[in-house]
Amino acid sequence: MGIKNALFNLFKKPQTLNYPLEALPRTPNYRGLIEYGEAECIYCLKCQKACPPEAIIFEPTQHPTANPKNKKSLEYTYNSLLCIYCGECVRACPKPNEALWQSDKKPSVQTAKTHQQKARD
Amino acid sequence: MKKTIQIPLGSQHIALLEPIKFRFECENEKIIAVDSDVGFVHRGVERACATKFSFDSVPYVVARICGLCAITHSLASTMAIESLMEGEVSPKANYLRILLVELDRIHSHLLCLAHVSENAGYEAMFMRIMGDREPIMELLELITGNRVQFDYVCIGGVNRDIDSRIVATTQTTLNTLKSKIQEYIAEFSSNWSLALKYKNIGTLSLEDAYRYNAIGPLARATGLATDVRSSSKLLPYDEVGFKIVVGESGDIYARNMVRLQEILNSIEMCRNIVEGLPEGEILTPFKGKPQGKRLQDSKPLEES
Ligand code: SF4
Ligand code: SF4
Repeated sequence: MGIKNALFNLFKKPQTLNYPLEALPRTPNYRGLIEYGEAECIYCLKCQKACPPEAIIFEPTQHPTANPKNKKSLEYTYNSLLCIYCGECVRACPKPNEALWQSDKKPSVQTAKTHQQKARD
Repeated sequence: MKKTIQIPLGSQHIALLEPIKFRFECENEKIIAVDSDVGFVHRGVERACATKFSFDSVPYVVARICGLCAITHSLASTMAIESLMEGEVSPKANYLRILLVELDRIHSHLLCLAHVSENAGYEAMFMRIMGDREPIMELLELITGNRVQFDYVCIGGVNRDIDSRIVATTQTTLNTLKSKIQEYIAEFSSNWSLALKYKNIGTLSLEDAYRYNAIGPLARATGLATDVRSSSKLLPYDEVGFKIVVGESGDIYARNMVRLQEILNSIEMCRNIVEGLPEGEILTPFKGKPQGKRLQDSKPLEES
């Protein structure tokens, strides 16, 4: 038994993946970045309320967007470093797939800005 | 003259993964008593749940207590919240919850068995078991979208449905695993390193298990028939073919055997679930707020 296994393992392909030289396979159900379509949003703020770690925050700004529903001149900010990719926001949104949806993109560490950095800019 | 020597280990030690302190009482090479202190990590999860998060976020917070049993904490808190609200979880969602709990049990038991073999000095077995555990992790990723931190249950049901492709993958994965487990059982009961080394080691007697309220495979290996799956009726475990596994001798060998048999039982249950999954909704909305004093305010409680 042991000898058989040892010989078999000698000639077997490794079970590990050759990361980062080869890309990791992505499952079809991958929980990726939350994406937002400003034009379709009705600014009900349900996504902000549903989000457990407060990754989605609508911040008041001075420069209103063209969307007429945006009466309070809010700006959608999404912190992909805080997000746990649970999908609660998409479920809470009255217009899923148009205003808010979960993509299969990976968050990029370089472009993610924290709220503090945004405030400083 | 004192016959024994005391050896302290921890709270920080290179061999320890997490801060924990032991004080071994040794008589020559033999450890005759051990004192332990585990209270070195305080993450404040409980306080955070009570003050910072609203009730429907709490399952997501407590899920992060442990990466290995990522489903149990969130499931327990979700079901506690559901019991305070009005509404009923659909049978399908209940079966899917069991499916996830059992897959989680399989990978957690495999991890434990791998480490048990490693501690016996049988590193090749560790590699083998960890390699065979990987398909289960991939299956969990396929179902929930994540290898750990599944975030699968939510108040009212579960977050994702399974389709025919997932059912097929589950069946093939579990079939392969089943034959591997049979091999492991032979290995764990006849291999010198695993069987003989672990017989009569670390024995917990039935009386002690009962007196100290032992739970899990540790208790069942002593012959104590305690299992939350049979004693609580919250999830329909009797419909999916759950059988309690009980050992006899209470030593490490018996615990290994209990774990291996439980994996076989879990595989059986998972198969029954994916084959006989009823039609229906996976999510029934629960309206309103749970009854109870602390939770009635919609806003998180102020820091007091
Ligand atoms: S996926 Fe979850 S954590 Fe991320 S923004 Fe949506 S609700 Fe918040
Ligand atoms: S829930 Fe949807 S519609 Fe409402 S504010 Fe969020 S993104 Fe906009």
